[in-house]
Amino acid sequence: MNQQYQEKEFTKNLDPKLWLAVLKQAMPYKHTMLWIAGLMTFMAGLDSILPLFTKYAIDNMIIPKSFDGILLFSLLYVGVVIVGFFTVAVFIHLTGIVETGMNYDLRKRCFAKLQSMHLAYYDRTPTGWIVARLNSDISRLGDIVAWGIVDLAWGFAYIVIVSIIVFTLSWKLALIFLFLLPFIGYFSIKFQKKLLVAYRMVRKLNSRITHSFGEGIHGAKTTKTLVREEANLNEFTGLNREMYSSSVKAAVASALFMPLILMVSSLGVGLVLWLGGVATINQSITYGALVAFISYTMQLFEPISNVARLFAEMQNGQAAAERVFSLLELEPEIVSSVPWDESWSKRTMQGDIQLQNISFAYKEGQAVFTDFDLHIRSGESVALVGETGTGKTTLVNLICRFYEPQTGSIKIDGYDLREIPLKWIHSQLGYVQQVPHLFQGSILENIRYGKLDASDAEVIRAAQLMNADSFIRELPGDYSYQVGESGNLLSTGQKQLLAFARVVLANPRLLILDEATASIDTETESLVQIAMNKVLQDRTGIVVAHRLSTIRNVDRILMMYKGRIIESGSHTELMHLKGRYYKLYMNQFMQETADAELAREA
Amino acid sequence: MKSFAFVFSFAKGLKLRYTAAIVFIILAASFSFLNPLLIRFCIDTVLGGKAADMPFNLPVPSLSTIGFLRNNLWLAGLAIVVVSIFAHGFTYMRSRFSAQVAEEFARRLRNKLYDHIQKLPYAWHSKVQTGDIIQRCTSDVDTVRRFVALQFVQLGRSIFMVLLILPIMLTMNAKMTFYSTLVVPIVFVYAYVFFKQVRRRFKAQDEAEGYLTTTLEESISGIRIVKAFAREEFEINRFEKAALDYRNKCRGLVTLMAWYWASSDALCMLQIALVLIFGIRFTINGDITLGTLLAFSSYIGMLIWPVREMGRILTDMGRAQVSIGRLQEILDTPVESFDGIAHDNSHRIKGEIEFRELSFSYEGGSDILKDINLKIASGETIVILGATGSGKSTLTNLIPRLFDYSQGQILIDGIDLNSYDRQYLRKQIGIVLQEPFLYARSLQENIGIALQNVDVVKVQKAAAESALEETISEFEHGYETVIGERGITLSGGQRQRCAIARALVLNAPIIILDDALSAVDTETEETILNNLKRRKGRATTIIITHRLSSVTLADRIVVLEHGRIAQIGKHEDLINVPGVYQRIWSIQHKLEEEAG
Ligand SMILES: Nc1ncnc2c1ncn2[C@@H]1O[C@H](COP(=O)(O)OP(=O)(O)OP(=O)(O)O)[C@@H](O)[C@H]1O
Ligand SMILES: Nc1ncnc2c1ncn2[C@@H]1O[C@H](COP(=O)(O)OP(=O)(O)OP(=O)(O)O)[C@@H](O)[C@H]1O
Ligand SMILES: [Mg+2]
Repeated sequence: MNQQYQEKEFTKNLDPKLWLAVLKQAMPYKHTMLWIAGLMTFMAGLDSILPLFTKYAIDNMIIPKSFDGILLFSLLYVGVVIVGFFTVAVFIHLTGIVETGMNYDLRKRCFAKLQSMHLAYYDRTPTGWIVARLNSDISRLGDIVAWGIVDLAWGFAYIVIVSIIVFTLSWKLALIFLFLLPFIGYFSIKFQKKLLVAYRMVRKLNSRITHSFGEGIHGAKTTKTLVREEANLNEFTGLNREMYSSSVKAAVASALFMPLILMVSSLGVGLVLWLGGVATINQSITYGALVAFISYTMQLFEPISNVARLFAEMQNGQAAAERVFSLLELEPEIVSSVPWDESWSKRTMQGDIQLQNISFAYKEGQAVFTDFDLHIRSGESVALVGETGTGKTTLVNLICRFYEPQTGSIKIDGYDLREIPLKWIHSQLGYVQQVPHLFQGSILENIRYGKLDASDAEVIRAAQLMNADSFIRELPGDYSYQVGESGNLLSTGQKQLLAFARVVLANPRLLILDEATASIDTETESLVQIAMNKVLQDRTGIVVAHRLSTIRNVDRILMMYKGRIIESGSHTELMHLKGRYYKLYMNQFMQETADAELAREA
Repeated sequence: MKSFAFVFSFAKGLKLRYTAAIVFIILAASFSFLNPLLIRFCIDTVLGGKAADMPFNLPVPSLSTIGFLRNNLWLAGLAIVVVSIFAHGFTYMRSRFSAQVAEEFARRLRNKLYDHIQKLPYAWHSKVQTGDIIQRCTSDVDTVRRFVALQFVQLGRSIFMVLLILPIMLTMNAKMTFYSTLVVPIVFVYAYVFFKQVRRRFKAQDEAEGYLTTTLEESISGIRIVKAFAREEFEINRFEKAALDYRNKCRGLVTLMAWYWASSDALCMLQIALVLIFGIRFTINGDITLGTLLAFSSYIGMLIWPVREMGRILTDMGRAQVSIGRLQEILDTPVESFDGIAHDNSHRIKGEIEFRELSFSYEGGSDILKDINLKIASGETIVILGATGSGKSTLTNLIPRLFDYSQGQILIDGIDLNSYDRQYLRKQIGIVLQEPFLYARSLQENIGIALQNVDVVKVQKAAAESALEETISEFEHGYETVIGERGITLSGGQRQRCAIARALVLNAPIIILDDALSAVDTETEETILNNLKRRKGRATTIIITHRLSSVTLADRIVVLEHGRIAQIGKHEDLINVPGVYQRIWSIQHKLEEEAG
């Protein structure tokens, strides 16, 4: 597991600036939220009035034994119930609107931000981490903001109104409230904090367990061939044991909370019964008031623990908020100074590429290139060869502007890459990547990804050109064959052919092939080669290949060694040079020549 | 009922604690019923001075006791506190026990799932949707856990409450009991029917959420393709559509829930109003006392909300049932069998492999391999060539039994493959898959992952044999370099060599390299081939390749064509017969002439 991406501990106090920023996200809903707050205040009024009905009934009807006004009483009570009905319906509805709306807005913005991020960000950020941010963290924020307003407005209004009522009923008895409040408040806050710490632990473990299951499935084939089952299971049971003890701890702590608060409230009820009872005997308060007092005391904990929970949630949600905002505030390191507009879609790339003084390192101190220069002329096709890890893939990634060189400039058609829209660059070039990646879906959909409005016939033509048509026809359902998760249900070579067809369909001006045929057999490859040469005829091409047979037709071969170009020229030129390329080339075929001679002799 | 069987199958040894939880439910409920009676007694008898009518034929306290109490009202207060302490203490105990039981249950379930999934045949893994399975192993397990921890217990509590409150109410006043419970069944039925009806909507919401997650995952894991095709806007649109759909489903549901909570709240309040209004009448008529009225009010408050919950819980149980079904589906899929011949691990097989009239098809497809006959001697090196999709990977994947074949036979050391224990067999095979999976751990751990114990020397030796040593030494942290998710921070060739080292580290008697050198340059390839050559004879080696350079290593060459063995023999034999090999060779030969 990537340690840095585990949830951080956040035990510090609430950060008001952060929450203001969160609240700002909810600004489109400010009217709705005001309505919610208003409704909740009203609701608190209704809730705190109900015990007064009982009081009235006792003092004005039961004790004097009079039926006077019972009809009006009943109607009023039912009236309150009906008004309550509408209030509840409307406030839940509105809260739902704020919650889901905020979630949606945040998701939308985060996803758009993610799409604008450069690849280096994805190199360091696990997919699971991103998914968790957009799922649970955002949901949490929406929940806290929307329902927080409900809790806050209701809780405060209720406490204020009930305080006023009890003090007018009997200020002496109301002192019991003052005595109880700090206890309930203290326990609530303390417990909620404790609970959240406990549950945070649980969530953290939960995300690790999720990751384990994911790795278990993605790596199943490898696990089996390495016979890692037991070792994996051991690791998992260890994790699971931790999960058990944290969950039990959290559950036990939460099991203690309500009973404890209720015990404290019952202390209040006991006191009210005692002191209130005495007051009733002394006739300083009525029976009705005593009963009302008892029910107020029983409900006192509710607003307090609600508000306490909200604060605790906020404290816990702070981590979620920080993570979501850190995502929103990410600066895409690769942007262009010129925005995309429609005029760009009419421009075609000529494919003249110039790299000057390029220095680049993925990690500081591990330079892949220093002071690297290269010029590829429009319409030229060049090949990059060289030992693994010298930076061939890195070079084409720089030309695609997937990564940004630390120094130097890259120009296409004379424009600095930083001054042309990324979208234009990417829509003009076609890049077949070293690891073919297919999306879940049909073959047709996958090829069509290269040109979204391509007709079926166009798709099929691209497949035919790449010699993929024949194998596709043999699959059940041919073009509608489902390729499975990341193309699992195809052979690797087949995936490469499809990835190639996808690019060919896009008809790009600059074609980049990074070992695009590495897993394709020689015969198919030579057919693909013919197609490729046709495609490359009038456009710039960059081909990375280890099998030297695939590059004999390019205009220029660049021999790379440890991040530098050490030889450059056509195949014949390089062979005459008798340098490294020559050695490599002879290396590859010497044995075969010997074998051929053997064969001829025989 | 099947659900209960499922739950019980994981509950061995937990029954005692579960029983304890149930006992505590009963105790807690019983004690919480005492308080309203206490208050009633205080108001009517102690304060009001009416003759006490005690429920359950308890002895009527004498007048002097009552007088004493009246002067020492704090005793009544104390009684309330003590009763509460018991009631809530018991509640705590039952939550504690049920939490322990449920968490232990969940722990066992998760372990079982993990273990089971690992042991399922690879054919299963290649077909399923990872997201869906993860969902089942996390959310569905959680649903079932909640069912065990809460719903089961709450249901028990609700039922017990109804059973206990009714007699208490009846002993106090029958007519009043009637009016106090008039709306209760309606509330229950209403909740039950409502949740039954919206279950479909909940399911739709879950599905919309699942789709949203899948869309997100697909687009993040394919980000390199998205960027290369400038498809950001397309992805954003797709995601927004999914997010909007999810939002709308949530909103629709919240609105429904709003009406439901409001209306069922109103129903409950109506019941409370009925108690009050009829209570007033009966009290004024003298049928009941004020204390009784208050006791009824309290009881109805205690009863009505749990009853409403019960309606929901019953439908939630339906959800748990669905979850259990989904988990059961995984657990019912038969695992690979792990019995058969298993020598202890120090015993090496000889490594003689024979295919006899072998045919193979993936589930539901046509034959990928047809009538394969091939005998590979122990220590022999075989190179397999063949067109894309001709079945090379399929053939080699059969040897470690990643897939089971149904027709023909594969024999290792003369014994049918199917009679070997899979794990034993796999330990005898070092295989480099065509698309190897690397773990997000250090290089040291990745290479040595198949070893029982950490063994730096073996790891370094394997790295050297895979021409990886120099590369690693150039990394800042050397062997401790942690590679990104699935090896993303390595170059293609580095990833492949890492996988080769991982396969060589065990020194297994059978080595399979599936297109394992496709991303390395010819020089490095040569180094690795030379290293393999030095090992020659020590292990039966199968090399799948598209490059003829590997052919130099071969004792024999096998050419696959459309799942059949088209050619077989030494280079010298094949080069002179018209066929695939000659054609491949001439493509390369032409090159060589150009070079000359
Ligand atoms: N995303 C990355 N983060 C950090 N380092 C990287 C990353 N990608 C590649 N590297 C490192 O940069 C160097 C150059 O890698 P690159 O992929 O460009 O090599 P390559 O020439 O394409 O090799 P191959 O032929 O094996 O594909 C390697 O040492 C590699 O480990
Ligand atoms: N899991 C699978 N389920 C269904 N069909 C599959 C599965 N894996 C491969 N296939 C199909 O089986 C055939 C043979 O695939 P295999 O991977 O064995 O080819 P290969 O010879 O290794 O090709 P390559 O040279 O491209 O690696 C292909 O047509 C492929 O589409
Ligand atoms: Mg293959």
